[in-house]
Amino acid sequence: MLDVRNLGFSRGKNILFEALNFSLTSSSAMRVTGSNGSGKTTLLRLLSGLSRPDQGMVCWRGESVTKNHSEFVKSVNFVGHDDGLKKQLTAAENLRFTLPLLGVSPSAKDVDLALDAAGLESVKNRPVMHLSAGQKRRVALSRLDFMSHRALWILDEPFTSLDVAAISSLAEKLNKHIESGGLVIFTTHQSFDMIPQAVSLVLD
Amino acid sequence: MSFWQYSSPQYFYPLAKKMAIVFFVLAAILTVWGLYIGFFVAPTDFQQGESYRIIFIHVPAAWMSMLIYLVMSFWAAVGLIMNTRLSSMLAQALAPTGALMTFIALWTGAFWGRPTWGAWWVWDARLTSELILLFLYIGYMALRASIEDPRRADRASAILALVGVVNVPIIYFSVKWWNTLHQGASVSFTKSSSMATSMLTGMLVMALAFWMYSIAVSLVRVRRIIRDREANAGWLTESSGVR
Amino acid sequence: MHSAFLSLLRKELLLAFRQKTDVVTVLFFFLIVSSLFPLAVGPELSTLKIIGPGVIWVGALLCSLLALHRVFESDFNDGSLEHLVLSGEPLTILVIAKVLAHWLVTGLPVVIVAPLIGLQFGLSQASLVLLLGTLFLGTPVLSLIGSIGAALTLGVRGGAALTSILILPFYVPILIFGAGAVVADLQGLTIEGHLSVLLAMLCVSIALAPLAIASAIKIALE
Repeated sequence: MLDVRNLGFSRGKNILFEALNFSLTSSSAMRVTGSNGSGKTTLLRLLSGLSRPDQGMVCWRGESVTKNHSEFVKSVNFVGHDDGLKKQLTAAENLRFTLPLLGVSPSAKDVDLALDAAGLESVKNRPVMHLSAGQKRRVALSRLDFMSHRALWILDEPFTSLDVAAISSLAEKLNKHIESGGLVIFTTHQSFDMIPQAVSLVLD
Repeated sequence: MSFWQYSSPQYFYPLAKKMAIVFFVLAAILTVWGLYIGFFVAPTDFQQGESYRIIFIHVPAAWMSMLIYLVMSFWAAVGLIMNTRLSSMLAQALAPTGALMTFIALWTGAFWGRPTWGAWWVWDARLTSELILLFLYIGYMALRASIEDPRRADRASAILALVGVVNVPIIYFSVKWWNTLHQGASVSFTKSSSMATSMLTGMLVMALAFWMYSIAVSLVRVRRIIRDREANAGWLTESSGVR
Repeated sequence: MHSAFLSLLRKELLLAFRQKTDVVTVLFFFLIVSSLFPLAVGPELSTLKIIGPGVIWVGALLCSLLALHRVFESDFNDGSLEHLVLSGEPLTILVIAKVLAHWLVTGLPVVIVAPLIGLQFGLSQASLVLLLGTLFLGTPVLSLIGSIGAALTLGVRGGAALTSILILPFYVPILIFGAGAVVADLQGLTIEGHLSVLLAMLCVSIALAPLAIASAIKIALE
């Protein structure tokens, strides 16, 4: 479903990668690792169509990602490095207002359930600026509960700032998505084996 | 070599040098001819005396300032839509020359207005529009200079240039309205008397001269831009490139 | 699409409500800047009446410039802007929601306060109404065009000064017809032409500016 052909990208004088080729079918995952500055975030942004490559192309279901971007994004769930949360709004409000942009309109009850399940029951109605880094990450990731209709999940450093319980909860969600046919691409600093099906890509 | 090969900076680079030499020569010949007409052939104007002769610089510069903005926006748009580097580099190279032409038009406009109106600046519709055009050029160059990534600078400044092209007629129309409403002064030549043929010829020749000069200078500048931006491409270190 | 537009609009308004300082700062800037002119040229009411419409319009213009960074900057910094581009809804529609919210929060208050400042300049009631009307038509155009500049300069050094240089030339026609209408009316001329042009500018900018803003946002995120 996802084909990357001859992908090349440079930032100024720095060649991040070139002639990158790989393919992913449904029910698969890929773990991208590499040191800081190796281009992990850039690769994810190229895969989601936010950036355009210098050479080569990214294809989703046979079509170039940049060609019909507005259609392609309906299959993409991108959770970036930043949490994408407005700090003056509460966790619940953040979800309630952002999810309609992504094609789902959950009820207030569904949002509460998702946040409770992420262990945020006590803080879900507090402005996000009062939450810790780990709590903010969990709010951002609780979106995933509503995103199963988008096949390609691209997650940048999803496990950062999470404690052990949250990590295994997230891994469970990812595995569930993979089992039901989805694709998951994520970056991580550390070595990682909680997603057994993940193919590994190392950038340097 | 096919024609399209020249759309690559590498192949355009040596071609630009040859073209620049040709255009500089043309510009020099036309300037000499034009100034000769302007100062020796064209008759004295019965209303404005000798001071009117500055139009042989002012009008061509003004025409060039507008033409260059259109050409610059055209190449910027091509670079944006077709994602070609050289087109954007051409736009980048044209901007300073366009700004210079606008500046010359403004200065000579002031020198022209002074004997006629006694003031260094009158809010004439066309001069005011030229001033705003200068701001458009400066804005384009400032935006480019502020963005570090050259490709992002190309694309962002292309959007700005296109917004500018759409707005230039609106701005000109508004300023004209404003000027007539407030019965402003007008620095004009064609209104006051009929123009002798030699005057028109002189202006046209000088306009062509400025045009040749603009092309030549922009080609030299685009070569410098190619050198700066393609420094890593490898081909510049060969003997064909760097001076 | 409807629900995405509305929920974005509501989110923006809620955010502005939680951070009222932004609105208040802009209004006070408007008041202070307008007060500078009588201090500079003297309190003769006859002078103030002449420069009043222009001063207030320029003040509104400067307020618009001052408030522009609010439109996209925080979204750019916290990763929310990516949500807009990757949402699947047409970006131009979402952009309209953002700019509309921005105008409601920073433009409309200026429109409402302007007549009060007009009183300080000794403007007649008719002039005040006309001032209100022209600002009501003109400030959305300022927000729309200004947002193009804001989107082009996201994350770029140079800040407000750079955005101002880019945008002010495009503000000139709006200023000419907006302030010009009030001045023309004072001179006893008809102002239908002015108002038609302002309305036309509003329609054209609603149609075209979102396209430029959407392109500029995508370029900023690359």
